[in-house]
Parts: sequence; C-alpha cells; structure tokens
Amino acid sequence: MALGDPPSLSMLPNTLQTCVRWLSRNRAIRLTTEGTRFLLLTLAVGIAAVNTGNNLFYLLLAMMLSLIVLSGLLSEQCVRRLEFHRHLPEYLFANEPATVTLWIANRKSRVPSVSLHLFDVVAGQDLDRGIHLSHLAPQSSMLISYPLLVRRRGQYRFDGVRVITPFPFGLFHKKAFYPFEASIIVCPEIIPLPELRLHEMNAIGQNQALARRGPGNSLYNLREFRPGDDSRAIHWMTTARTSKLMLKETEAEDQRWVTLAVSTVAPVEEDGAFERALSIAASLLDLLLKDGYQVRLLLGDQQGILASGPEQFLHLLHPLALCERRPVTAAASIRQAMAQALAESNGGLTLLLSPWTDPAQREEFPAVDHVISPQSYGDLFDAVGSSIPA
Amino acid sequence: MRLDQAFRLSSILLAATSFASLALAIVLPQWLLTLAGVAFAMALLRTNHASLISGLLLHLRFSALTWNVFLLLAFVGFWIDLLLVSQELLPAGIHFLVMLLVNKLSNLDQRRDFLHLYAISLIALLASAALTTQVWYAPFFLVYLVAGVWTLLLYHLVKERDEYPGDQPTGIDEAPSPSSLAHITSRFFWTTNAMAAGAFGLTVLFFFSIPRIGVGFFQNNHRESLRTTGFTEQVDLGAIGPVKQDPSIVMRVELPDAVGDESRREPLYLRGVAYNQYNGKSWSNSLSHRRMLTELPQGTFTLRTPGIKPSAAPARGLRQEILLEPLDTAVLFGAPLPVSVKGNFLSVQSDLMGSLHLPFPSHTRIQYTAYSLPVTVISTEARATAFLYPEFVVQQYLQVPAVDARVIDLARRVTQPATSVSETVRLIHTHLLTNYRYNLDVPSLQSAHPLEDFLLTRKTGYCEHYATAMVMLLRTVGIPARLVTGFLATEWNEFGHYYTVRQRDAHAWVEVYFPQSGWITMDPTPPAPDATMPTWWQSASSVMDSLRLKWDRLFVHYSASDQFAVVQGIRESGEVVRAKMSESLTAMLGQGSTMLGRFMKALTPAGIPQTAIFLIMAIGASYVVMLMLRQLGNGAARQDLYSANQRVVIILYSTMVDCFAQHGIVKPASATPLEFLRHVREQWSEAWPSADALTHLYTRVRFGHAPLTAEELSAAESLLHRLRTLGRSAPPSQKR
Repeated sequence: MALGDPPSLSMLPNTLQTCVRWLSRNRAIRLTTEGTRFLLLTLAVGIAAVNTGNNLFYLLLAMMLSLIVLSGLLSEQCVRRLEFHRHLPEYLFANEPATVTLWIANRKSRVPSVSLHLFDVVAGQDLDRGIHLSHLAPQSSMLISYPLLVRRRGQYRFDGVRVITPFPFGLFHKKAFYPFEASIIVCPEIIPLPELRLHEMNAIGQNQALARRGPGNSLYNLREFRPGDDSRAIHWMTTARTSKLMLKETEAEDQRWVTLAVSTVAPVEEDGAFERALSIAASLLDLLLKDGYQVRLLLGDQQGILASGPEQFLHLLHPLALCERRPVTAAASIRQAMAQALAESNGGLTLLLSPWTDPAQREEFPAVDHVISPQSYGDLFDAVGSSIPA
Repeated sequence: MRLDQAFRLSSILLAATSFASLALAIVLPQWLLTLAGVAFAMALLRTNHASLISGLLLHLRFSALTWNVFLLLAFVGFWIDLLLVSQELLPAGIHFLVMLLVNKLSNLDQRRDFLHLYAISLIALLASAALTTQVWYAPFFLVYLVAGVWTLLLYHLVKERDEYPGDQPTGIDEAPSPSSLAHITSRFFWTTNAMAAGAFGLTVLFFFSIPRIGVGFFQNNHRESLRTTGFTEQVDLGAIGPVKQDPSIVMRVELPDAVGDESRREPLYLRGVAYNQYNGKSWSNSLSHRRMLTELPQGTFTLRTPGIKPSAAPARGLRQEILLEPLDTAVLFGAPLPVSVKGNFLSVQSDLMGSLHLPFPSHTRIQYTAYSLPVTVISTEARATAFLYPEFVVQQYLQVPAVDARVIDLARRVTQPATSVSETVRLIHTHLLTNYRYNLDVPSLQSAHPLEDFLLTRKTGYCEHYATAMVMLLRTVGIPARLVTGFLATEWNEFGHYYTVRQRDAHAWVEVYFPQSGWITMDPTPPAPDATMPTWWQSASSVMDSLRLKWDRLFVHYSASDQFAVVQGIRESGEVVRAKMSESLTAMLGQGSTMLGRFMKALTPAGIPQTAIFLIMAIGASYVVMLMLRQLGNGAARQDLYSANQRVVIILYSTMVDCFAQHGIVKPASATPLEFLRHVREQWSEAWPSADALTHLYTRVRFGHAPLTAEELSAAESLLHRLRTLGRSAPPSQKR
C-alpha cells in the first residue's frame, strides 16, 4: 500500500506558493454549530470593542481570538505526522460486505492525536466508515477493521484517507488529507439463481455434452488391449466372452463444456439490466465451475476466456468486473465478433446472456442453445431495480 | 475527579467568575445576590454529592412550567426595572442577566443548557468590562480564561464520549468502577493548564496587536470624578485642610529622564493654579482670562512666548509622565513651571499666571506628558538690593488687604537684617519655617482673621497658612509674590518607580517674582510629621499601586498611539541592527575583496584569465552549497523516515554486522542482507538462526517500513545478545 504522509514542516518546499498549494489541497476547516455561535459572539464583542474603544472589550476579543487560534494550532498538531497502511482483500463482490483493515500510526514524538474521525476518500468524496479514534499516543499505532460494502462492480479506487478532528474545543473540524492511492476489483454481485431454471440448463447441458474418453466411472468404450495399457482396466467379462484381452475405457467426467456469451450491448436506459446480466453471468459461472464444467466466457467482442474449476473463477470475474456497456451503435460489430467466436465453439452447451433484446440477434447466433434475456427470464432481471442501483 | 464532575465544576466556576466580576462592578440588590448564591450552591451540591442528595434535590426541583413562569416574571421585572426602578438600560439588563443565570444554573441538564450558561457568563464578563477599569478585573479575567479553556475542552470530551461511547477519551484513565465514567489524570491536568497558558500568551499578543480603531459611537467612560479643593477661581483659606487626611490617589507621576533613584525620591511640586488676590479670608485669581495654547504636531501644546516662534520639539527640561485620575477640575498639573504638555487633548488653555487648563474636566483617566523648566535665581539678582518691577507685576502681585499693623511690623522686623531682595525672601522663609508649628487641627474657616490668627496668635497651621503668610509678608515689604496650589508628591513607589500623589498631598506654596529670573518657587511649610505605617503594609500597598498603574498603562489606556510607538520602536531597533549588520558585512566584504584581489593578482601572471577564475570559483561555491543542501535534506528525510523503534533495529543490525566482522565474517558492501545471511549460514551455522531473525526484522524495517512492536524490539535485542555470547570455535575453512 502506498504510504501517505503529509510533508512535515522541515520537508516543506521553501516557496510560499508551494506551501499554500499544499495547504489548500491537504488542509481544510469547517465550522461546527458551536463554532459558528462562538464566531458570532466574537464578532459581536469585536464590534462592541471598536464602537466603544473600551480596552477591556479588546481584551475579551483577544481572548476569544486566541481560543480560535489555539484551536487551529492544536488541531493541526493532532492531524499531522500520521501514517496509514491499508490492507484490502484480494477481491470484492458488489453488495457483499468485506473487511478492510487500516493501520494508523502517530509518528509524533510527544504529541498525541486526539478525537480523530477517519474517512475514506473515494473519487473525491469523503465516505464515513464510522471510524473514530479517541486517543492515539505518540509513537504508537493502531489497527482498525471496518466493513466495506461496495454497491457497484468495477475498479474501486481509494484516493486516500481524510482525518478530521474537532479537538480541542469542538469549534472547528480540521480536515487533513493523506493521499495514498489503492484500488480493488469489485466483482459483479453473486445472486441466487432459481433452482428450476438451473435444472433446465443442466438438462440441456447433459444433452449437448460430447462424450470423451478420460478418467471417470461411466463406460465409454471397449477395445482390444494394447501394450502399455493399464492392466487394471481389463474388462474380464468381455475378455472371457471374446477370448481376447479387452480393455474398458471410461468416459471423462470433466467433459462438460459450457460457452457463456454475454452481450455487452445495451442502451443507456438498460444499464440496470446490463449490470444485472453481469451479475447473472458471474453467478452462473460460479455454479458451473463448482459443478465441474469447463467454461468459456465470451464477453462482447473480447477474446474468449477458458476456465475450469472453482479456483479459476476469479480469472473469469476480472473481465466481468471491468466490462463496460457498449452503445447500441456498436451492436453490429460486437454481434459479428461474437458470432465468429461462437462458430469456433468446440461443442458443449452455448448460453447467450443478453441484457437487451435485439430481434436480429437470434438469427445471427444459430449456435446458441439457450438465451437468457429479460424476455425469457423476466423474474431474474426483475430484481434489477431493487438490487442493482444504476 | 470524574470527567462529568470536572466538566460541571469548570462550567460553574466559569459562571461564578463572571458573576463575581459583575457583582464587584455594579451594586446588585441583596435579594438578587442571595438568589444567585443559592443557585450556585445548589449547582455545586448537585455536582459534588450527586448520589447523596440527588433525591432531595429532585424534590426541590421545580417543573419546567415553573421556570417558564419565572422567566416571564423576570422579563416583566426587567421592564419595570427599566421604566420605573433604575430607569437605565445597563442595570436593568444586568439584573435580568442574573435571573437568566439563576435559571440556567438550576437547570443544567442538557448540553445546550451548558452552552447557554457559557453565553450568559460571557455577556456578564462583558458587562463587567463595560462597568469597570479597575485592576481587580485582571485576576477575574485570568481565572475566566483558564476556566474557559478547561470548560470548552471538557465540553468537547464529554460530547465525544456521549457520541462515541465505545471509545475512551483522551488523557483519561478508565475508571475502576463498572461505569464508563473516566477520571482526570495529572497529565491531563497539566496539559490543559499548559493550553490555558498558551491561550493567555496569545491573548496578550492579540490584545497588543489588534489595531485600535475605536470610533466611540457608544463610548461610555463616564466615571464619578474625585472631588478636589484648592483649584477653583476662589479658595477660602483653610479649604485644603480637610482633604489632608484623604488617601485617595489623584495621579501618578513618572520621571522618565531622571537618573538614579535618589533624585526621584526628592519631593516633587506639581503646580496647579496660582492666585494673586487675597481679601483677608480667601484667595482669588483676577487674571483668569485664558488663552489657547499653540498646538504643535503630535499633540504637543506649548505656551507662547511673545515674539518667539514656538519650536516643534518640546523644550528640554523636566519631563513628567502623568496619569491623572478623573477630577472635578479641568486643571492640568505639572512641575513648576510647565511650558508644554503632550496628550490626546482637543485643546489646552493657559491663564496669565501659567496655569494649564483643559476646556472642561475629564471624566476619564487622562495620560499626558508635561515638560517643565525649573527656575532658579540668577546670580546677579541674588545680590541685588532692589528691583524695578514692571507696572503689571506691581498692580497684580503687590496687593495686600487691610491687615493688622502687627503683621506689617512683623514683616519689617523679620526682614530688617536683609541686605538684598533674595536675603529678604530667605529671612521670611526661614522665620516661617522655624517659628511656627505644623498642625492640621486649625479651624480657619470659622476664623474672621485667619492670617493674623496664624501669624500672631496661634502660630500653628498648615500649608495654606504658611504660604498665605509668606506672600503677605513679602508683599508687605514690596516683593511681588503669589500663592500656588497643587500637590507635593512625596510618596515614591519603589516597585513602579513613580510618585503616587494622593488627595492628602494637596499643598499650597509661594512663587516669588524676580524680574530676570522669573517666578521662583518657595515653600515655607515645614515638613508634616510622617504618618507611621507598617513597612510591610507600605510595601504591599506600593506593589498593589504599581500593579494598578501597570494595568492602567498597559491595558486600560493602551491606545493607537502606543501601538504606533511600539511599531516605531521596533522599526528603529531594526534599523539599528540592520545598520550594524551592514557595517560588519561591508567590513568583511572589504577584507574579502582585498584578499581576492591579491589572489587574482597572484594568479593572473600565470596566464589564467580573471573571468575563468571567477567562473570556476562560482561553480565550486554553487556545488558546495548544493551538496550541503542535499546533505541537509537527506538528514531531515532520514530523520523522518524511521520511527525510534525502527532506528533501533537498524542500529542493532549494524552492530550484528560488526559482531560478525569481529569473528571474521565480513559483509561485502555489494552483498544484500539476505546474501550476507547465506554467507553466515555457510560460515557459522550456529549463529545463523539469530542472524536470520534479526536480518528479517531489519529487512522489514529497512525495505518494508513496517512498524515494530516493543516485543519485537526486545526480541531483536536479545537476539543480538545471544549472538555476542556465542563463541565461534573455528571457521570452516580452518577446520578443513
């Protein structure tokens, strides 16, 4: 993780301009309600002092100003020279909470940091994770874990951490920005798929499966024994019947192939359906890989990706997480590319996941066995509005 | 002390400080004082014995409706007070403010109640500031400042604790009890006080820095003036006597130019008004026509001498910085004879006898500088047997009322041996000093002939009698003289280095006219017997008065002109420093250029052009500067890059490398730590586990910037210790 520590005074560039730029980028002050009242009172006392020329009013004004300045100085001491490290999980799923760990250290030799509120800065926005530190002693560190829930798939970038403290008097919120960039891939949400429909697909998959020789239990073929064959595979009954050494060949159990083609074409208004389609795709891939299928993912006009076994699930999720919706104008070229890729299919079940129905689509993909679209699987896509925000 | 308890206590202390300040500044009705006192006591009881008497207090607490009715009545009372009772906004407003304070003190439940209490306390302190300028305000302000810092900090912490109950606020140890309340630690106590000290320092800085641009639209500096006697147009003989016991301070006088403390302890005459006409019972001034003094730049007013153009610079003489209390007279005082005054005045007037007046009495303290030219008899006049006086002087200063013939006889008898005018004056002066007794207990005002009573019958009296007698005796023998009233400053403040002038220092003396020398001050009054005062009390009084003066000078009367003077002073001292630095630099550069010239001369004959030498030297100097800067930057960065624990591990690793070197396993500069570790494993396998662990710690710190715990640090230390204790039998190469 990148280390983000605002430059200490000794490290500050000498030019005033750079200093001001640094301050404007990394420091901000916001008034609290109490602070607003206090400032108004200060203003009133100031007006009274100017109007009357009474030096004791000036003394009170000076006291109030000193409290404001002291507040600024102490809060600056609180938020400076902190160090952060963030530990992120390898990947995230949208709408699924994950635990993020933030390590914070106070690098000051004597001054503690008090009343710290920490915010993640994502895309310029301060996101409150509910992290509050009452006291961080000098030269000490602390590990804070918090749940992170990301609503959208894609690349989730952290710009840094915003530290806010109202210390010492609660008149102002001093904000300090510690820039350290980090990013994480947020995969599409995994949603439960209805059982019946899965069975249907499984059935199609079974029908379309091409039997192959390989390790397994089902009988594939009987043939004459050849030198070098495993003697344990001799089928003794047939050998006895035919008086020749006959060998039993088994049908490979991992022979089931599924090609999942996901159309990335959708108009803007169907963005929700597109996101839902990606979630469905991710969920399907999860199930298929767990069931032992070998999967080929065709994502729009991208090159097909092969995967088998749950351990390769992430391999498929990465392009799904970063996939972008393509406009309708690009539909023709994408269709053509997909058709070409599907034609090269080496058998097995071919599923087409289409968030947007194009009447011409079916004709162009004759190899597709099953189409999952809002029209055919309305209930799957119906949850669009509720679970996947635009 | 618990956090909640400390918070409540500091809040109450804040309110109590402002209330006490207010109660001192204005006379509050007894019932209001009692009510506020009870409210404070109840609030304190609730803080300190919450569990003990909470039940009782709950019974005593009024409902919200009752308090609303109370506030309504207080508001009605405010209007009645304003319209019928005090008929002034400020007292009525203050009474209402105290009622609000009582209400809030009795209902300190929610956080906003505390905020209201702070606002009320601030307004109370503000009202107190509007009503007083006394020095007692300073300690109240200081306590308020400290309590304010405590209160705001505790308010913030209590709020944080309530909003984030799972966290432990700063500086506070967890309470041993099951409750989540916390205690104030000693560290927290001192840190907060340090913060308060910082706030105080900043306050002082801001106070002196804020530009004084008071426009005074609502200025109300009206104070009750001190009553004085002896400075009106007509003064009855014996009028000063009654004030001779009054210790009220009239003014304070500093002599900034005087050198040495002893000289400053001499009594200082502060001239007020002079009188030329005596009617047997009272003195009057027939030359009271006043003329405006010429105003010079920077607020200096100077007496015009006919035919001489006034100088812009004040005359060189005795400079006196005078802080005058508000008096019922418009007279400006100064050592004889004042020639100019400098102050924030619209105009200054002078009568024909040199007395200085403002157009009207000031109701505020005024501060001004008086410049006086002391007059002494010139030597030629000291020996003169007779003078030819101007007609004006003869008319105005030789008037004698119908006095007893015995007085005239006395004057002639006393002055008979005199051979010169100054001898005559001296004889009369000595006669009065030696033959009469100082006594304040003289009923002069009832006497029909106070002068005759003093000179012939009673022979006791005080300054007015002495001065009147001397003037009359002098005039009887034809020497012009006049009576002067003012103050005789004798009380020297050792701590503040100034004279404290009190009402009891009111004094009368004589000015005798010498045609060429001018008006000479003569005091025929013998010194009054000293009032015996305990020394410690005198010292304490002096210290207090000195503090009072400093408070007045530095805070109450701090003005734009003072700020200007400070800025001017800083600028001047800056210029002095700059001039000195410039001189030193010029001298150094001169020496340097001479040396450089010699060096160049020495090089030039060798055929190297001067430009090339300059260029090489400049490049060399730039390179050195760059190197130094880089070194500095690296040092700072290195300093900041690692924490203390991390630096310790790096040092431990270096020590380990040295330790191996002692055993013959030297780390080549090109070897990485892991390569070196492999080398160690091959060379000395017993040491490898410790070296491995320490190297891993080191690489984590050095390349990963990972933080280290205290346990890891101590583990690293023990690893090194183990390595040192390990004895290496023989290197494998030797074994072979």
